[in-house]
Amino acid sequence: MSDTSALEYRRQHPLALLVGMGHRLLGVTLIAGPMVLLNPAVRDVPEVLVPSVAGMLVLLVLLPAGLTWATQWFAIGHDALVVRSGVLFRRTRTIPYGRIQGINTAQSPMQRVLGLGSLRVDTGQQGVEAEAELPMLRWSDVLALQEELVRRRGPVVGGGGEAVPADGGASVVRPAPSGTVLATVSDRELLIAGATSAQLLVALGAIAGLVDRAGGWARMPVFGPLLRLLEARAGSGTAPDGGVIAAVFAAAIAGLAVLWVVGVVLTWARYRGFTLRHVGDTFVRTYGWLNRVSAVTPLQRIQALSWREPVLRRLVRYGELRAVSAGAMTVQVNGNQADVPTLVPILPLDRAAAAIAHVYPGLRVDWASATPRPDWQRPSRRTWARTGVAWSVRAVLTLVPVSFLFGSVTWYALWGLPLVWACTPLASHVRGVARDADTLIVREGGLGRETWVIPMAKVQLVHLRQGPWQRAIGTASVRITTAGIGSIADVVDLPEASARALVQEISGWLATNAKRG
Amino acid sequence: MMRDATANVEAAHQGAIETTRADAEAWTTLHPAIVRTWQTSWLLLGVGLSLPLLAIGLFLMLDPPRWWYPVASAPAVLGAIAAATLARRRFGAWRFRREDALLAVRHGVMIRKETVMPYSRIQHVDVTQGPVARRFGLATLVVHTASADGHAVRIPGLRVLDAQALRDDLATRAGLFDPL
Repeated sequence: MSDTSALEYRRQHPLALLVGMGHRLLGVTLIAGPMVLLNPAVRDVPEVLVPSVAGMLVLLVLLPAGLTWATQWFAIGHDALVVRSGVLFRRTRTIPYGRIQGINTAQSPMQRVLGLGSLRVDTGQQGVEAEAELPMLRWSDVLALQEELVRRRGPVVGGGGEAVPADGGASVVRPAPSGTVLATVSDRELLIAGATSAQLLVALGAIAGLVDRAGGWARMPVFGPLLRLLEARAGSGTAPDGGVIAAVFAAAIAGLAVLWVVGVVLTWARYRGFTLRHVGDTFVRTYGWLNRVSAVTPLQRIQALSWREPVLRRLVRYGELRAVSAGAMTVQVNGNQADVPTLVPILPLDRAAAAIAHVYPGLRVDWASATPRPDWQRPSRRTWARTGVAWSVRAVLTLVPVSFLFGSVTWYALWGLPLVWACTPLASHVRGVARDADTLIVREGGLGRETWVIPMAKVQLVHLRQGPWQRAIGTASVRITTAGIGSIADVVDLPEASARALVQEISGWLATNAKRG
Repeated sequence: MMRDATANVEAAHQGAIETTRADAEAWTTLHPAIVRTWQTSWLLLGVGLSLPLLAIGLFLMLDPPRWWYPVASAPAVLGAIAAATLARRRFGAWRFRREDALLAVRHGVMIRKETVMPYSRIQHVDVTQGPVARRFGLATLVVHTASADGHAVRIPGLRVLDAQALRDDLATRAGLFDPL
């Protein structure tokens, strides 16, 4: 524990008071504004308005902002960062520099106008402890502090594994502002990313549900009441006529289209100007249009890389590169969720391969091929029935919640099951595992794919699992986990001998190489 | 009675943690008293679920439907069946091995599972003991890692002293006793 009495405390910049009040004012206006204006008491007696608004301002804006400002401070200790936070429940946290998983800065539009910014430290813990937010500072101070923390983090002492085989580790580098640019994402690619997100599938499903339900409008969960409302407006007491149905139908489709477009625009605004750079022994990501974010992730803290290709993005030959570390799954940046594992939101395969090669220079993988390496091991071909059953069960389980939304029409989707079974050969075509000298490559999926690159040094546990059906057809599944959140790589249905050999190989490697850092 | 039973299996299992199969000399099995422990806990669980249901039928319901009593006694029957058939096979499937750099655990009757855990990944090691296991003088060793699936390796059916010795051994091998 650091001796907190000897530290030099730093408070929020005074202007932070303004930003805090501004953010709160915005929130209060958006939520309470309509409530006040629609209140009949206000309409009848407008004088009520003044004291109630004043009271609200004091209670919800001035007081919290002031208290937050007064109770937050931080200090740069000799070997730890000390952060004090909380208004009612006060908390002083001591974060050893060596444990820092990531250092992120963010700047909201309001902060940008005032020349301020905030800094968040990812501690590698989970839940509420996952990150510590430092008080708002002048933007130049934020950047200097980020640099200072990166420097103080010092040469990496691995917690749970050796350094990633990158060129960092030995040298402690002050991050030059430039570094090597590994990937940039153009506006066009961001629009593609938004357009191919899973929301499109949901929208298509909803439209299909509407089309099918054309006969029974009045009984539908959402549209029935809406229709009755329209009828009441139109004054007709009988069944809705064709014109009204068409109007509601068009409005529904337009609404879904608008939601989709909003999703596209939000994705674009969130990741605008995305740049991934390799600076010293860290990854630096900068992005954002309204909220500007710069996130620093130490390379040594990366537990595994994952190259994820959801179905829709595969169609347009794009994917998402993710790097999982032991820290928070998402960080809050001025109230917005920022997905930490997302290293690059959208990339074509060749550029992703280049980025991966930069992290693991020794890795020899032909990413475009169905057999990325000569020693690629595929699941046994006898597993198609098992795969078919597994996919069918998953399809039905997905349809159950959907059916609550769209009614029994959902079950027509079961006619697609033969198609699912027809796709089962894909599983043994896509899935598999290979081992580079110090790295495992695992590919999961079917129509969509996810490829894991896992350094042996980061492996935490290896499980071999064999159910009765698998025993009958002579296969087994292997699960490889690291400390990175969600980094659970499954090699399903390998031939039993190969599965055992894989476990043997990994445990052999761990036995000779894994030392406690 | 119960004490006698424990003493008997104790005698049959001289030297407690010993190897039983020739083909895998380093595999260790659990203490045989774990069979009684599982049987007792499953029976207690089944009876504990059934009794209140039966009591509701007898005292609270005016005219319980005809299927009430069979359904209410189902947990106890299932517990008895599991105790009679599953416990011994489960014991037979359970084994673990300490190698130079890792701990290997094997278990599962229907679905067989093998887990390999390098000592260097151990975060902390616990010894826990439930009420039934305590009656039979057994304890469970729980070994935690930072693994993303939140999986802790649990080794049930160790005599308390053995569990503590194993805990200390694993902690030493993991370097947890190093001066900070």
